Amino acid sequence: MAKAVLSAKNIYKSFGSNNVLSDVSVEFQKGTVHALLGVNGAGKSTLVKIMQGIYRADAGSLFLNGEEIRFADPSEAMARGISMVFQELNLFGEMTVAENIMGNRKIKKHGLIDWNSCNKKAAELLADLQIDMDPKVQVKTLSLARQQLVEIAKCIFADPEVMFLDEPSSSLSRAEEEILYRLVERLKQKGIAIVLITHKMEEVFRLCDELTVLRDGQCVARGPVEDFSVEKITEHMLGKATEIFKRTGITNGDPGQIMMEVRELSLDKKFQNVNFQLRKGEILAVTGLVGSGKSDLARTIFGVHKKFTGEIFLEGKKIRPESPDQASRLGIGYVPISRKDEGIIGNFTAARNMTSAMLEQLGFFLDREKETEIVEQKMEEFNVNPRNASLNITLFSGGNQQKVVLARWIASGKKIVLLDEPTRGVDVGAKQEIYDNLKRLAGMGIGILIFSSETDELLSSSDRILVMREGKIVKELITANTSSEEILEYSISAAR
Amino acid sequence: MSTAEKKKEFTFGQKGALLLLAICICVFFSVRTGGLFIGGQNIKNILVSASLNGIIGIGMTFVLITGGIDLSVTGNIIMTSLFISQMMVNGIPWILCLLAALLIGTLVGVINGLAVGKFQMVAFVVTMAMNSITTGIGKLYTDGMTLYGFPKNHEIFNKALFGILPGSVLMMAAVAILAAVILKYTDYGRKLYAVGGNSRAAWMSGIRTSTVVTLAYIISGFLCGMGAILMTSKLMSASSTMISGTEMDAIAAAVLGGTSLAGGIGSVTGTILGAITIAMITNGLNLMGVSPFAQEICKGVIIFAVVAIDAIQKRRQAEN
Repeated sequence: MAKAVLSAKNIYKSFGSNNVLSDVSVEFQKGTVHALLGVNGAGKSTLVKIMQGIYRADAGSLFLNGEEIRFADPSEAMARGISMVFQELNLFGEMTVAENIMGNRKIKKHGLIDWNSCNKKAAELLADLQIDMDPKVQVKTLSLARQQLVEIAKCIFADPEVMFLDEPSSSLSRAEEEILYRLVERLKQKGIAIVLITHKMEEVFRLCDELTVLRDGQCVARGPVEDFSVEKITEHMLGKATEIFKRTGITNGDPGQIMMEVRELSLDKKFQNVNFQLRKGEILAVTGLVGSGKSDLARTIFGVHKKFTGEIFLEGKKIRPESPDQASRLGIGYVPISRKDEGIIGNFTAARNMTSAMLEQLGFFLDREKETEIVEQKMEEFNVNPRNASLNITLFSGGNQQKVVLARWIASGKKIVLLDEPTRGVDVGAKQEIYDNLKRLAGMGIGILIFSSETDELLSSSDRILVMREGKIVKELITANTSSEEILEYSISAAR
Repeated sequence: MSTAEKKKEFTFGQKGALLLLAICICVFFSVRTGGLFIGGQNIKNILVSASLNGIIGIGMTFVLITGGIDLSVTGNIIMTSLFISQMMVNGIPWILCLLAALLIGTLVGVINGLAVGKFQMVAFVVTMAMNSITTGIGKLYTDGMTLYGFPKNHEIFNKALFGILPGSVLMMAAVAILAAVILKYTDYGRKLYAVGGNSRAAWMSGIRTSTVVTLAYIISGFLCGMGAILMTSKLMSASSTMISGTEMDAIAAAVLGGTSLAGGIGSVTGTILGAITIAMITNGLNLMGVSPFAQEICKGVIIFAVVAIDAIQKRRQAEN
């Protein structure tokens, strides 16, 4: 058995009275890809942060190449060869690829930066990683996927022994994923121990050699990937045998009752002549690849882009939302794609996040009793965990934050809720809960419009799917009669 | 777990640190001045000198909570003071002069607010420019002269009302109570914190962020108008050099009281406590006969220390 590069033994960690990790041990081997799995809140990120030197464990020890270590801070961990590629990229958009890769280790001559050598060195590194990229271009001109490659190259430049990748493919398209996967395989050949934090089973089976599953702060399964099946992994993650993504009770809605209708809606170069009707009781989904215009469509209906043409009708009445507050007043809510930047208010408790869209309804002098009552009811209704609304929102897992953002619009009594990638970065268990909630809300007569690029999600949550490509709706599919292949085919067929 | 709980007992927040400091200062000066510091008349003096800073500091707190800054308060007070002084000298009814002060101050706030809130201009630059503009207008209008000869009524704000407390202190108390209620119990207060915490997310949840921000600068401007009334009442004269560095004192009071320059955090009680602490330091050092130059150093060191204590606490919390 190969010796572990990095290992953690019997790690304990708690925040206040909340035990996040108890007796967790993991080992990462040289030249292997190790999947770190678990639903949100299972303790993955805490474990990783301990190994990064961001948190200190309450008990337990870390070993690097057999030697016990203790990191004072993240920079020390980095200096010892532990690097991390975060979900949110840490790049300077205005600087070139080479500048970003070299960071503060630029090559100097007579005390000044030697740009020629820097660019040459960066080019060599990119070539070695088989990334076809000009080191002299500005990072902001690159696509998200290519920026991610820069981020990885930046980490490689520091010559790491262990590299953590946190959901690296979450914002990539299919073709872009392929590039990333190839790079991961290349890194593995170079002998780096790679730890992949992911929710995508496909990635686990395609890339990984070993896996560890965490649940409620404990290590519940580990071993070679070949010993596991998707069902078994899911079972370990959730702690019970469940059939995930089961779609039941497809409805056509009530064709006689139109919640929302959009006619010939266009926004400059983003999308053109979009028409659709949302019926009462159904869940309508809009899909398409990145750049298809679906996100802009959602935002336009919510009043973010005001220079649109065409007509929007809400329950038969023509409306023209020109700002989110107007849209909100008209009865439209929007769960944004980027939870951290646009969804949650970080200095607020869960309760205050939940009521931020209904302050007018609580009166000039806020009716705090009513507020508490509504919050408690919604915490229950949406099964937000932990069931303590007075905790700061940032202490909740992604899935539970998402439930709070969704509940925000329901608490304020919106007629229509638009959701842009509703389960991005949300674990399997919470995903299903969100779908169940959406179905329940649709049944209550609230119009639900999902904008998503995940085919699993479309199939398991919607009744009808509109496929967008290059700013146009190219196909309407009935969920019951379609498949992921068909959805994907219509999404990309122009590219062929 | 028990260690985490134990550690929690030692964190008392910045307001707690400040309160502790204020008590220490109080004891220290009382001992050094042989009780003179804690005497009734001196306490009154401290509160009077804290009142202008307290009132302006509250306006500053509103602006800081949005994540902005208002550097125009000095110029605003000077210009407003000079305008109403000229009006009083010209014999315009006194009450109209007071209303004019509030109006002019508010107007400056409206311009700042629209520029920052609606047109998304950078607060630092806008209000710095506004400070220069208002100071300049004041100087130009009076040609740098000192104005005096106000109606006798005008002294009222500097006189003890109801026997004990001076008018300026009562005004500070009234403003503080009103502001605290607004921040804590109204939808506007909640929105202010939301905008300061994450302006984009607040906007995306249907809050009219530009209005919320604009209003914060208007409140700051209005309170500058009030400040102009207080200052002219105290000095019974006005000139373009009547005050200086008011914005820095106001920011210092707010920051001492735990308001974050990054936005989203701040309270009225903190700011008032901050203003009183600063006034205590100045007053105590004066009583001890410390040179004003040394006083400046002292003030700076204390602000630095309080903010440092808070930073250390936050770091300790983050490590837990």
